[in-house]
Amino acid sequence: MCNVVVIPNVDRDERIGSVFNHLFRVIYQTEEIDDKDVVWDFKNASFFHPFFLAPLILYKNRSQKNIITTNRSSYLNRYFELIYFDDLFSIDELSDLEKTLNPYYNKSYIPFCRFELCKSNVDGIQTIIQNIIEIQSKAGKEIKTPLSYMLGELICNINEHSESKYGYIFSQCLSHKEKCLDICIADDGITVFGSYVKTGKFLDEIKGNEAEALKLANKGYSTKNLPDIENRGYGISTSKSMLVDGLNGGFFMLSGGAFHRHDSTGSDYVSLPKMMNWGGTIVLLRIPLFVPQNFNYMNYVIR
Amino acid sequence: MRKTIKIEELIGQDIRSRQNADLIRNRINECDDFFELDFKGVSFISRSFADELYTITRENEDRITLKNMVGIVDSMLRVVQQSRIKKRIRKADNADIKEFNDIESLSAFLTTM
Repeated sequence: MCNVVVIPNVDRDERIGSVFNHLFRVIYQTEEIDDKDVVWDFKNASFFHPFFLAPLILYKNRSQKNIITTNRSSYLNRYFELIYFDDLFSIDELSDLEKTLNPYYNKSYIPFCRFELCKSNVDGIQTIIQNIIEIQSKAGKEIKTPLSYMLGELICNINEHSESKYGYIFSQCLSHKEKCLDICIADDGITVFGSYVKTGKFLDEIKGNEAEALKLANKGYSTKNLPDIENRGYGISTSKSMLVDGLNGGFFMLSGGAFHRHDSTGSDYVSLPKMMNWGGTIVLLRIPLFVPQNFNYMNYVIR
Repeated sequence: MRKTIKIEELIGQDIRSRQNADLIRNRINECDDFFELDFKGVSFISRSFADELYTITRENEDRITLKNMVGIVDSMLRVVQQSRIKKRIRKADNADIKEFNDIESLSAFLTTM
């Protein structure tokens, strides 16, 4: 039986998350192969959209299959080396992170980074990475606070709920055509649905449906409220509102067997076919490089 | 005796993670003294951290004062204070859940994005 999966050239993501059309196929084809060894053939590939590439790296890294790549052009090889496609860039010490990321100030992307959630100085990591992203994007100081807010809340969410050992972050600035900053944040945790199930919260509302769980999380129903007040659950909803309503960006969240997408054209919650399941949660943020003049982040942190 | 905790030195300029609040908790739980939390030099606090900070100040309101709360730091804490008083009003999200049973129908949906 043929054990080759041809990797498509996925260079665009018209509406946030549409790249998953290709990614799901690659995963499906890879999983369908009986052989432990699977060959990913890059003969058709010359450029990858970051929202395709980041989940692809994550999938490859944790797949039970032995994935061998072939027909990588010299350009792809160099790019893959810089983003740590084959061996994830594991952040252990902040000083190492600063040193490693120094050559990236004049690039448009950072390596695909993995950090240990409980042991790492997550704030310190974010400060260093965000500093590079801001410089790469040339977006001006207006982007600093919303970026701090969104990344901070979403990474904090992973820390609080995913029970994942690792968190992941990848970023690429597409300054020419799309004029946006595409950021991917991920974990290998128990998923949004799994978090509600594990804590036994909102089970009547969820009714065993992963997409319903995503909907609840996006509405801000937290598993960790104080007994007498609803003080938690603002992270996702306010970040999304800031991004979509305030900055005209796009938001995508895939968790277990469901995904949610929200941008200026609307909002969707999707239950995936039974045979498709993403181990953990992955969030994609499309952040426009130009902050609208009347944007005030405080308008979005309240709800 | 009033002790000052310089938050910038203890945590940093940009404070995002909720767990950072434990650093303050640990310090004030070491003794029964009065504490002044000095936010001079802190340029950003997340809503999550502000929520924890608010809880700490409520739990220890007779022995904690806040100093140099300006800009984002001040406004974020005020937002949290308000949200603890007012009932939360959620933005409506009437999006339906779409269910797909096979990769082809999912693919067709994704293609029409």
